[in-house]
Amino acid sequence: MDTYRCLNDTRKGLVETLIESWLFVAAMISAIAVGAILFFLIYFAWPIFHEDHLWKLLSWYWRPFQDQFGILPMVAGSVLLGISSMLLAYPMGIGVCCCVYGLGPRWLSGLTLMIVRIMTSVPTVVYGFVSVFLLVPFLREFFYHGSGFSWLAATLTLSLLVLPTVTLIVNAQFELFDPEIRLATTALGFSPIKQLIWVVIPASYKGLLAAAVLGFGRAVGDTIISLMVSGNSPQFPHSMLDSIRTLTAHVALVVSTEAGSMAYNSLFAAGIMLFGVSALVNGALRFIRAGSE
Amino acid sequence: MAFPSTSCSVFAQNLSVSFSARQVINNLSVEISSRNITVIVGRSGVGKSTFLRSLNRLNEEISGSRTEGTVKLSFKDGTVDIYRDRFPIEELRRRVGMVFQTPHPIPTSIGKNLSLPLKLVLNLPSRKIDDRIEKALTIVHLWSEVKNRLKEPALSLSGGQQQRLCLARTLALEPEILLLDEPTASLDFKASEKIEDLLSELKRDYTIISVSHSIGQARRIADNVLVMKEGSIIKVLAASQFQEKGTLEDLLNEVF
Ligand SMILES: Nc1ncnc2c1ncn2[C@@H]1O[C@H](COP(=O)(O)OP(=O)(O)OP(=O)(O)O)[C@@H](O)[C@H]1O
Ligand SMILES: [Mg+2]
Repeated sequence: MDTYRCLNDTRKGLVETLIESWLFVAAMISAIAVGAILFFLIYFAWPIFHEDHLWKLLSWYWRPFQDQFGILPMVAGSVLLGISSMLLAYPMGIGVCCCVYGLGPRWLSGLTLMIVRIMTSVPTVVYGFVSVFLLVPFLREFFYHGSGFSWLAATLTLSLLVLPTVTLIVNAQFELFDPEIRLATTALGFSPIKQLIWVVIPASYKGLLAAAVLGFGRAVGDTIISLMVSGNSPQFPHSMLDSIRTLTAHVALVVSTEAGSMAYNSLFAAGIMLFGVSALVNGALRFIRAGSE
Repeated sequence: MAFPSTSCSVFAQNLSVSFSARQVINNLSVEISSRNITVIVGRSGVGKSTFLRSLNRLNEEISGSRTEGTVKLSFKDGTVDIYRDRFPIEELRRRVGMVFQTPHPIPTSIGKNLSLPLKLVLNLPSRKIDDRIEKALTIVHLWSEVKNRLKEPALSLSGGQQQRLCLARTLALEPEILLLDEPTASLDFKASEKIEDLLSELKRDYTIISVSHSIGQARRIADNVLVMKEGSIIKVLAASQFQEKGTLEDLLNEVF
């Protein structure tokens, strides 16, 4: 009996060591990969930190044939699109979660969650495609303004893409809430809405923040939708019906069309900015998690 | 159906509760008198908590539950047939205050555990809330322990302090019927004694129904003891029947 137990123990130890070393290797590989990406980005972008180059990049004009390589319109495009799609998707996602979490009828909540889960598995390009053929023509006819490829079209489409991210994170956080505490507050006479607003949501603020940060990261990081439906004019939009170009779409477009060295250099600047956004998102998530302890 | 007598405040008839087809409360009928302490005793799992929850319609919040039968409660302003009358359920639950077997404070500060229900359920203006909080915490003998830490998280309190906090939270809402599920389970004997004294005081204004696993406690505080077995009440004992030490134990030994 004793030998058996002993044997069993060492085997378990071996498995554990294997898993641990495998995890360590995986972690090291990802860390090295991220480090290498950052290194090459900075290495290739180094020339642009030359003073006159930098000023060229920090301008509002992207006219590569006239030697103007400003990326500010794209920065503005990314930020504006990220914010506008979050302004739409975030309240919608929280609304869906509230509905799922007891405000709506039970059958509806199951159905909604199922639809949201399916939405995550639809390839992004499908959203773009559908949008180009349905939403864009509709906007064009409805507003009589431009081609329909616009900040508004990208916002509407992108918010659909971000909605599941927001919903699933917030819902997971809501589900962590102790059902016994819900029962206890119900017994005190709280209505479901009061319970949600005053008890569950305050206790879930971490998930709400994480959903906002991750959703924004996802919106800024998306390429296909902005490339397909935003119109891609490198300009600062004056209305939501104007066309915009995001940093990600910019990179995709320039890589596939240009080869001039200055144009490429500007891409590395764009890359560094996107990297910075994702670093900020990660930093913010860490900060949110640490906030609890 | 008229209420059987004016001194009766809880009346249940043919009450049955099941969870996913498993019957837990079985054709239970009982009358519980007002301004009295009624103690429910019975083995673990016989349905004591479930019976308490059927008096404030809380079983409905548990998925898969089904309730049949009649429960009538008499309040100061009239009688409510809680499963038939269209009485607002939140108001019913406020009037039938319940303290759970294990304390479940809201994960926020100690003070907010009391102020939130007062604000949201009772719509009390904020100037009255502080007074009410102090009063409620004082009667459960918690005020001196927490008066300087009302902003601290409720979960930083000990189990017994949390239990008294939850009792205070319910009392602050001024219910008319009080359901207590082992209110002294995590208290030391000194604190239990204080709560027992408190209950004996409170019965002047409230109808108290308390589950207890302590026969000693039942003898000390109960005006009536209900013995539960297999989801029904099989015996009702009045205080006069068990005043002598040992008689309650003997009576219970017979039926357990
Ligand atoms: N939420 C629930 N879902 C399903 N079954 C439940 C639920 N709550 C209680 N039950 C079942 O109902 C029966 C009675 O439970 P209840 O909690 O009322 O017993 P109790 O008399 O209060 O026991 P104890 O003295 O241990 O607290 C048990 O068999 C239990 O498994
Ligand atoms: Mg119980």
